[in-house]
Amino acid sequence: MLRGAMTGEKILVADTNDDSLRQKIETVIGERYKVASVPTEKGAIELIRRERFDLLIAETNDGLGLVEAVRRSDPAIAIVLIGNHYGIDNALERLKSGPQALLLKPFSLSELGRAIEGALERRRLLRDNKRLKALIPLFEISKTLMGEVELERLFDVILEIVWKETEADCVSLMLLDEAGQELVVKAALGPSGRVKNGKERVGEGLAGWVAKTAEPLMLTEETHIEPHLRRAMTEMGAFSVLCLPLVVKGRVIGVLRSSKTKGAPFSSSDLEFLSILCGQAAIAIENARLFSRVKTQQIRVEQLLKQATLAQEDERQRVSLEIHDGAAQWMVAASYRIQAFHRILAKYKVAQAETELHEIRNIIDQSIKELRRVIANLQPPALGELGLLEALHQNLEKFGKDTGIAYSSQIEGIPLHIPPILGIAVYRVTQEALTNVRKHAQATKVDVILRFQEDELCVVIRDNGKGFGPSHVLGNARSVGQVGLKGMKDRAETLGGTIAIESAEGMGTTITLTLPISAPLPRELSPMAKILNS
Amino acid sequence: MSIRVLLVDDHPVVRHGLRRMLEQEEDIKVVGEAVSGEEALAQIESISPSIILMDIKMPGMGGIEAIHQIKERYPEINIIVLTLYGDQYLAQAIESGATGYLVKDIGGEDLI
Repeated sequence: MLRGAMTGEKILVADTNDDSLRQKIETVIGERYKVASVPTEKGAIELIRRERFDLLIAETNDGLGLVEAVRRSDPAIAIVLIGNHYGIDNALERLKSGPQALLLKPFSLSELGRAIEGALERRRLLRDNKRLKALIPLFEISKTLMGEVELERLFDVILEIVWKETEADCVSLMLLDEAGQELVVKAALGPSGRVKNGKERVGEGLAGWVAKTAEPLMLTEETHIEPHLRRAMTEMGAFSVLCLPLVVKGRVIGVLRSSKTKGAPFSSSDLEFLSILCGQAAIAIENARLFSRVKTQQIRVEQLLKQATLAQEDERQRVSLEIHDGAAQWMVAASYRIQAFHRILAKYKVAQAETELHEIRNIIDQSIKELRRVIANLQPPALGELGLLEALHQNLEKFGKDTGIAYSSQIEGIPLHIPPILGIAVYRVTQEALTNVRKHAQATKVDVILRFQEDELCVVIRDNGKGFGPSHVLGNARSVGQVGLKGMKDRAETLGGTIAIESAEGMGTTITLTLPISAPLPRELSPMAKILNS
Repeated sequence: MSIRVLLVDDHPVVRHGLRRMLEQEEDIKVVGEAVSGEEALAQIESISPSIILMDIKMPGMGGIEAIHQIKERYPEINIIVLTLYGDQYLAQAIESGATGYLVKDIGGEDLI
């Protein structure tokens, strides 16, 4: 009789030729362990698939097939083999490693007890050892995973760990795309090295099934699974597959799939190990993604700041050139004329002096007009009060009045509410284009078209003036107009849009600004608006 | 014998002002006006100025390049730079062969 407390370990007694022996074993060990017995080999295999046993007792003469099958589905199960000399040697040959004990017939009940306890003890040790071995890398893994913020490197680290720890032949890490429809292979390790392509739809294939159900899938050749999953497995050329979801806060973000084409099938301990790993990997991936998103945003912010600074410099140069070419020249002329006037007066040429004075008056008036125009152009548009359409209209009306150039304005599509920053860009580009027309184009007509499309906003400024060849835009000489064109381009690019300038000598000029309406500007950028407006 | 002056400046109002001011002097005669370096070079042969008043920034050939070319062909002509740009172009202008460099806000007395 075996004495001692119930250990709770489960023992399966498989079919023996000797019914009385089976019953005896069952009776003797039943006090200490939980025992199940099945009379047939098939029954034993089925039971082991459904339930987990710690030990199998079988006979060598006809139970070896069963023992092998059991070992395949659970390499860690302890086995006590009962047989004669010949049978035992044969069995040793076939079973190779694993916790096991041999019992030669005839044996006493205490010998049976020792064999069982010995095999179970070996199993416990092996399991503890394995767990310990698994725990140490888990700590390391945890440290490595959490420390890695570069996604690509993180993927590689995860793959290497799985590959090494589970002895899988192929490991793929797939992540769900943004729509949650497709699993995209982000990294994979296979017999032929690293591969990195391939997709699998959610709901289809093994990984697709796991992504859909959020349940892990452990498959061996014997597992009963749906035919399409079996097919998927065959297509992979694998005889054992372990597929686990990567879950963060209850949401599947991807799937880790590992497969074997040879060696021992995946065991339940592989499943346990990978479950823990996948939990950590999923969090690490999510962290790395957040990190990369923050980094991308930061780079974009830096870029925008740089662009804004450049745009500001260009704008300053534009203003400087405009004052230089406009008001300043008038003032210089006025100064010269006053000096001329002074000399005429000194010589008493009164009639000439009157003409001169009149001219000076005209020049100063012209300067004042020019300065007023520059001042008005520098004022931020009152888009908030007027709205873009009205502000544009007023600007165009004033342009027509000042220059005598005929104008038309047209709105296409349904005017939508657009973010102020886009409105300012449209307004400024139109204003700049009109300034160019006024100064350089010698046009008689200007058309402004504002086009609202589903995801785009276009403004077209078209004149019938003298136009310019490409050399004028690309040449080194800088005129107000050219600085203006560059300013328009910077403005458009800052907002993710484009500027198209079509012109040819004698053919007029058409400037088209296209801006995406849902500009991909992170919300944190709102202070940018201030910089861009200034 | 009066001083023959060629005015080179792309702003008509400035050229006109200069002309009116200079014409008050009996010994100065404005013999020509040009809006760019090219135009100035084309005129020199026929009008043979003794002094050229030259702006720096002009569309087409600018002042610096114009001074360079004029001095190469007509070293005897004195060129005085007239600009709004402070001393920014002074070194370049002198290097090119300019005789004088005046900022446009100077009084006519200095110029004359």
